Amino acid sequence: MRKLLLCTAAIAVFGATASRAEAQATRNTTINLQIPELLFIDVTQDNLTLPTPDFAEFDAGFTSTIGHSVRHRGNVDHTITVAPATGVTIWNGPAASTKPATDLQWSLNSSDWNIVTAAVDVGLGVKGGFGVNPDIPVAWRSAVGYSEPIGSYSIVVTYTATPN
Amino acid sequence: MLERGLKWMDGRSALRGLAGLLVLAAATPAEAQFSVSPVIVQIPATEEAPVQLSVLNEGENAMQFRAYALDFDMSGSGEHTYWEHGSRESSCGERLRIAPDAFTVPAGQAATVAVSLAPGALDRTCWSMVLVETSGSSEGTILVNQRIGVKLYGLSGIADISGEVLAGTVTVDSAGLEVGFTVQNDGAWPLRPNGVVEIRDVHGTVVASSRVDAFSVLPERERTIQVAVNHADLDPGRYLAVPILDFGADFLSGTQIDFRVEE
Repeated sequence: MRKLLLCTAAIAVFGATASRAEAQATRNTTINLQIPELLFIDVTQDNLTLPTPDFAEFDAGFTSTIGHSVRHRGNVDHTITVAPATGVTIWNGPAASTKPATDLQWSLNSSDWNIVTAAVDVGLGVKGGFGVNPDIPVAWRSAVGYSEPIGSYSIVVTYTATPN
Repeated sequence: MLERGLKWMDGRSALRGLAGLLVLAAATPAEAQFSVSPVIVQIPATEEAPVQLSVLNEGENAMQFRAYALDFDMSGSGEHTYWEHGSRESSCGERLRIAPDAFTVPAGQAATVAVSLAPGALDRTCWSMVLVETSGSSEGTILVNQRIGVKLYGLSGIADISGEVLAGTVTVDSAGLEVGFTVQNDGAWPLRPNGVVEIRDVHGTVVASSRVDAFSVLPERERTIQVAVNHADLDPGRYLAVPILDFGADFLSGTQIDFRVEE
């Protein structure tokens, strides 16, 4: 019984010593974090069908409008531009048609209209999420004329988000 | 055309304009949302390992992408102009490799695009824009592509970071106080300065300030920046606007612009 007690005491002392040694050990750990510049874009509707024009619109020279919104965010200031897709100068339409891409117009307020030619800014974004980068509402319409060939037309436009 | 447009807004057509706005408000849920990181990449002259771009599909359907390059330049006001890749003297041209150049990303997942530059041209910096693009539906009148641009710089062999803030202007009116200044990049490496615009009174005390977030200035180019400053508490009198920028060099650069707030 005495031996057992001594052994137990020795273990207790060793254990305490070992425990102190662990408590005193220090080890530095470096935690690395790389924060990249990132951007997000989302056009809420990626295919729009302009309303079929009636006589009133032919007389007015334009279709009525349709629109969508551009959502964007990033941790860098950025620019949102829109342009005809690369190489697009005319609408895809009937064989005899050469409806120019410049018939397509966009607006941020359905009042001031812009022709789509080269890339133009539709909005600026700042560092931040959706809360500090409001959606950009963009309305579209097309010039129409009585002399245009009858048929279905389509055109491709490209929105681009670019870091400033 | 503008005349026709204004005419179009008259009468009953104005109602159609309103209908268009309602369409905007009722836009369908997000269809093709994605993000790319990083969107600014600098590759040292001797670095051959590719940089990995992460393309994250944040939508609910699989998305198809293509990745390609264009040459670009920036105007003094920060607008980007694009050209066919390899057509500009500043282009990274055939040194640039992008793989894969077409890929599909399932909903909620990310794909990696490797971008690298073959060794060469240690004496000059090149730049190109890598564009990650997705196409929308093929049915409709107006079909929308979306893309995110990644600025890629192939740095020259010797670090050359040099810039200065040129003289600026201050505009004070009922709309607010705006400080404009021009940054000139004198070096061979692109700059990405950031800093602060301080408004100081005649005693040198800072009475207002506004942060200047990082912006890009290409080598041997200038960039003009406009910074709005809250001046609601400024009493009439003389002040100095002091833009102070950190270019990443071992010194800060600034200038001062004298202006007056009238009664």
